[in-house]
Amino acid sequence: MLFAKRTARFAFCAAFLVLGTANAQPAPNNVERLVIIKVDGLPQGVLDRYAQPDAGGRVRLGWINEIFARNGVWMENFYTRGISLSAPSWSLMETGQHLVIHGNVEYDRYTLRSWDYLNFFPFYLTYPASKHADMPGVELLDQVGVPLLLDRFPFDQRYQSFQLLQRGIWWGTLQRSLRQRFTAQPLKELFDEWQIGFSFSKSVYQSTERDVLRNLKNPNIKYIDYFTGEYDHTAHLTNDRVAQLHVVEELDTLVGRIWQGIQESPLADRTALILVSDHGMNTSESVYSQGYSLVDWLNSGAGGGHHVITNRHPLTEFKLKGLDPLVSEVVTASKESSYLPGRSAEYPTVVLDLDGNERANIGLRDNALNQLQILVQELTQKKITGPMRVAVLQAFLQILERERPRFAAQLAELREQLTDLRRAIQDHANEAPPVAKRAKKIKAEKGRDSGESVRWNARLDRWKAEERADMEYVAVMERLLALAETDFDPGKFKIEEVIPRKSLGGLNSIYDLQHYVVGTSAECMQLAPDGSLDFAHSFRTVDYLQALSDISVRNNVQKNVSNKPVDFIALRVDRAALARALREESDMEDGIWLRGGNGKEALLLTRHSSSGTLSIRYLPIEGFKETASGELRIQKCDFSAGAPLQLFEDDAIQAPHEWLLEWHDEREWLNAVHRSKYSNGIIGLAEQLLDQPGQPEPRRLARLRTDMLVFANDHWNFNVRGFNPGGNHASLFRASTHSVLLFAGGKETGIPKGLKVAAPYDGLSFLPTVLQMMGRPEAELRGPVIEEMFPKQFATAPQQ
Amino acid sequence: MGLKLRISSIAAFTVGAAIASAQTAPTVRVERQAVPGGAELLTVFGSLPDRYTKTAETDVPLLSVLRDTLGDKDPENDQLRYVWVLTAPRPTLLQRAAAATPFYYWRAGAAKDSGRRPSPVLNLSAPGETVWKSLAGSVAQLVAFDTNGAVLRSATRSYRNNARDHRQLHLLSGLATLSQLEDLPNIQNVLTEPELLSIQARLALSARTFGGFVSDANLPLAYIKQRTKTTEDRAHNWELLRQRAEANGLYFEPFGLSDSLTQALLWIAKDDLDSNHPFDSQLLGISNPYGDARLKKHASYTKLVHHEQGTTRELIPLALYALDHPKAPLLLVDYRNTRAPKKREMLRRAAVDTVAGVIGYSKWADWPYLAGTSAWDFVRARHGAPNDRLARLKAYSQTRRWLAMDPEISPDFREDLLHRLDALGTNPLEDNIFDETRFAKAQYAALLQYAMDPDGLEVKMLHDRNAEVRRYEHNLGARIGLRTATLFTLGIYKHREDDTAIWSARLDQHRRAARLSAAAGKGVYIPTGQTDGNALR
Repeated sequence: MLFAKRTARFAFCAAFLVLGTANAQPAPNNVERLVIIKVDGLPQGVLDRYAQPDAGGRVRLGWINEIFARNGVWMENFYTRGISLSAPSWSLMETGQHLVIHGNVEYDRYTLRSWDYLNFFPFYLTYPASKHADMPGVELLDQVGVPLLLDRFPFDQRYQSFQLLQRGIWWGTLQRSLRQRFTAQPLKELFDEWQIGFSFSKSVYQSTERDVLRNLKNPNIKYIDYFTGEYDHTAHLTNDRVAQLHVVEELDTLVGRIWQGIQESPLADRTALILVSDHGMNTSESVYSQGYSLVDWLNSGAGGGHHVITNRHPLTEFKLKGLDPLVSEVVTASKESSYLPGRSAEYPTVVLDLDGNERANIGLRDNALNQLQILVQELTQKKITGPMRVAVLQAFLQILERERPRFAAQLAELREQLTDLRRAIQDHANEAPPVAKRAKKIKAEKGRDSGESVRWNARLDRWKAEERADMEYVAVMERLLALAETDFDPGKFKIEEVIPRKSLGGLNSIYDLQHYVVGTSAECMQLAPDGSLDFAHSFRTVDYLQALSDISVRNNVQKNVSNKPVDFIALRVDRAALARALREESDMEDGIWLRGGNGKEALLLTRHSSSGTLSIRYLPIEGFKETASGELRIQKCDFSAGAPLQLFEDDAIQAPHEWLLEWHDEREWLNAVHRSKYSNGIIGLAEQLLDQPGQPEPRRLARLRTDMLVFANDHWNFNVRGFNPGGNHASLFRASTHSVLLFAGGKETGIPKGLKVAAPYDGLSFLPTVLQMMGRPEAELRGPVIEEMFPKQFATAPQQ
Repeated sequence: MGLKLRISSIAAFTVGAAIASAQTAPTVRVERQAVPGGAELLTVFGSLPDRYTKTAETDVPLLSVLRDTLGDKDPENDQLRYVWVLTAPRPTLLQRAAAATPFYYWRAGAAKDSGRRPSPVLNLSAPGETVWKSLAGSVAQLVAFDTNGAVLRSATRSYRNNARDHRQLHLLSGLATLSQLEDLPNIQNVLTEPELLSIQARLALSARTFGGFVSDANLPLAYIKQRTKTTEDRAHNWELLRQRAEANGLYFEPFGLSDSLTQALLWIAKDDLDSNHPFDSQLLGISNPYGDARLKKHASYTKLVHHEQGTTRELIPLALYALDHPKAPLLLVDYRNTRAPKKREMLRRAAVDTVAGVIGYSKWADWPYLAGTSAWDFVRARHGAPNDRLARLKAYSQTRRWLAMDPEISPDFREDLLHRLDALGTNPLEDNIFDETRFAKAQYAALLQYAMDPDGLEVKMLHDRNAEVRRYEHNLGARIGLRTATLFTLGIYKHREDDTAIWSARLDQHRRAARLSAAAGKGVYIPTGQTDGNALR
């Protein structure tokens, strides 16, 4: 009986799909309700492989094939824009704006306050104490005034599941997931699950699914999403085809159940179902992804003996401290620190964001602060005397004078930001806080909380904390700038009064990164013949660009995997210096230097047209150097194999070599290179590292910048939290950036049926396309609409 | 001087170049043998070392499975029945006596009657039977033995623990053998995907106390979970060991049957012995090799590796690890101290035997003891200690089986490794791996004889089919009633279904319906007008 009922239901849905194919296309832009299934890390390649009949005619993903391939829109070439990482990628798609979030964790350079976008534990655990109303990513987007897709719908018309960019908390779903964990299934099923292995996340997913299906029945709910991170999680841990396929098959049946729910809902004809992923996954059945610990390397003498900050404990699973759910900042102390032994808590000198693991954002403390601290310590702690003391003191004052304009400009900007912040705090405090009673009422009625009162409190608290931290940094830097020769009497000040604690300070120049001071030399301070301090022999420096490229390993036991973990390093280059060095490029903006090792260099030059279109030029170079005064030495060279992004040798690029060396707009680049090994990496680098027109609050976002973006070689990763041998992402490889975007809808939505779009698009097209489907286009969104879906509106779109 | 070794994947430890992972020929094959009464005996043949010839016998019967086909050729109504692990003959009286001796952690000889009909390790059509037996044993232990003094308590506990470990050793050994079938080309012609995964899932679940009660419908999920866990563990430990080797200046060499990397060796370069390279033993479990005088005198196995720069280095083996172990690789062989892993195992067992057997403490009866041991175990496990006895047993038994089956390893090296591994055995019921070839051949001959005997397997199968029809057509209450009636009439009344031909047809229908129902219950897409075929998983 049960079987007959189920079969009938499946047959009904299948019949619906088959009949639906024959229907004529109605007018587009009639989508009234959005149902979005967000799948973290699902690569398009997996769907291409399993949603089509295999050699034996078997379709593993029957629902996805029927709903999207045969009766919807199948985007064959949809890519992450920027690095293939969850927090940036989801934020870009959800906002339709250029990147505001550039990593999974970001640190304010001046105060080292962290934005840990993935850590949901503090969010849930501190919500009752009004510390957070939203996930950190949403807090940042709110702070810079960028709305999410979700925000286009009133609170009582939307249902958002648990995810990275979560606004508010659905306590009801959580409560039900706990309760129904033990009540929603027969006792025998529960017993079997106990024997096979319980999964808490499964109960949350099941509860979310029930909420989605329930909300589908409510015609007032116009936005519903369902987020799952199961594929990403599994693929990081195992490259086993069967294990990964199982997760995708589970997704397929979920899609089927939600589709059934839509068909039985009152808005079925005007509902659009979207399946979307934020990035792909570089996973291969025959290769394990090999890890290399940059934390250990930076801790080591060769790496500079740094105290390193990460957002999680290295090797979390083997530490009791690793159980701390609230952790967002971990300092791994170096045993080989030259001038800061035992002071890791006060003076960490490197921050790392490694998440995704195929790249690392590395932020190093301002090189000038290192030099100043070493000299101050020499003067105040080692009690040097005579000519050496004079020389060291003069050196200190010389560096301070050299850096004074830069520090002063930095402080002036910080003071301006402080003024703005205080005004914002005042304005916010003057606003009447949302009535908690109203929020409570909604919570009681619907089992959810709009979180307005919590949000109001949390924002005020956060801004006040930022104000305090900024003031402290400014005060210390002011004391540093005020230091005079007479201040260096013993005991007159403590180091931490003049060198800011827990701060990286300003960004380093490329010259700094190539001459980065990590301590005193083996011979300690040395005098030059003229009695001054011999800088070259007194300090130990590291050329980070060379040192990172030189890293190699002994135990490399897999075919076709390089013994060098680092692929290339990307750094932003100042437009003025670039223009002076290259001369002929007068309208250039900031550029990007790519360094894959000696003789493997390239420059990405960029500019924007008056309409805001980005153009990029790839320039092969060699011997890039920056002098101490900031002048660049660049030698153009022949275009050849081995240069970063491998444009020369990639057979998948359908463009002659001459074409690749010319200026092209981003659309042209995307069309030409998206099938190559590095896919749309050339655009992604510009998105990730450079300022974009219309970017909100650039000064605030500039504080979150790091010094270097280091990319891992193919099948290498930088994970230190544990081990991710299954696969990783965050690089620019096509395997990692090629993601999923599929549409299907009821008969009044106008969503084409059986349309395969071969033209490439990236994440910036997601929101404009969705809003276009709803008949609510917004001019200020940055990406193009996927025109193929709207043949009647866009003349350029090919007719079906 | 060093012998020339061969493990395909170690071929060259060239820095910067990959180590070739040889595409080896299949190490196993499956043979199908018709059994009277409408069934087939599927037997897995593989390679095992032989004690006498000192070579690998390549066609040794390792495991047999009985498939009830109802006499037709349609796979849709087949039912798997029994699994025999042929390398496991029944223990002798001497072995049983030794197993009941507390604190006796050594083997007790192998003079066995391996020609006796083997008993199946698992009944796939009634997997719950072993759970009931195990529960009955536990109740008897608690009620009858634990309360009668330390001697009886520790003897019975010791015997039960050894017997349980012995069974699990063979279940896991069977699982290790079956795992090799997945890579076999055309295996689908002999064993379908659902059959293969259900046998593996049942074998794995049987190692758990209540695993036999898991429904058939959940076997695919159990298989997937087990497979996911296994592949995650292997990959995790492969990577952990590689990184630890790198950090400690050692050489890492993973290897295994076919393409599965299930074991790994750590080596040290002879030239490096005198260096003062820092060494962190955490998660490796071996002492600092740098400056170790024992290694300087090492005279047995070494091998040469060629570096990209043209230099050649001589490597000395340090340790063998099992990668199929949760959290961290399990150290199985420490070349400088072969007995160390066994000593650790004996200490762990002695501690348990003392507390539970001699003193009579039970975690479930003494809450402070439960809290204390749980906290201690948690902290130790957090730091990578291998606390889980079943996981250790699994890693040990599977590594032993895979090493024995691997024809690619040089015979001398394999024999040395197996001897060192065999020294780890703490169970008196366990047999020497070098005797298994002889046991397996004799056991297989006995099984074939039983299968062809008109009063043998055929009768047993009819009985099983009868019981299966009862399960489909009578609910639990009715079945209990029928069973009770049999008991009360001292066996005079036995419920039997109708004529064999009639209920065979009904059985055929029931099995087909059950499969379709399972597919639909999973929410798999079924195209219109199609209720079978590719919708079935």
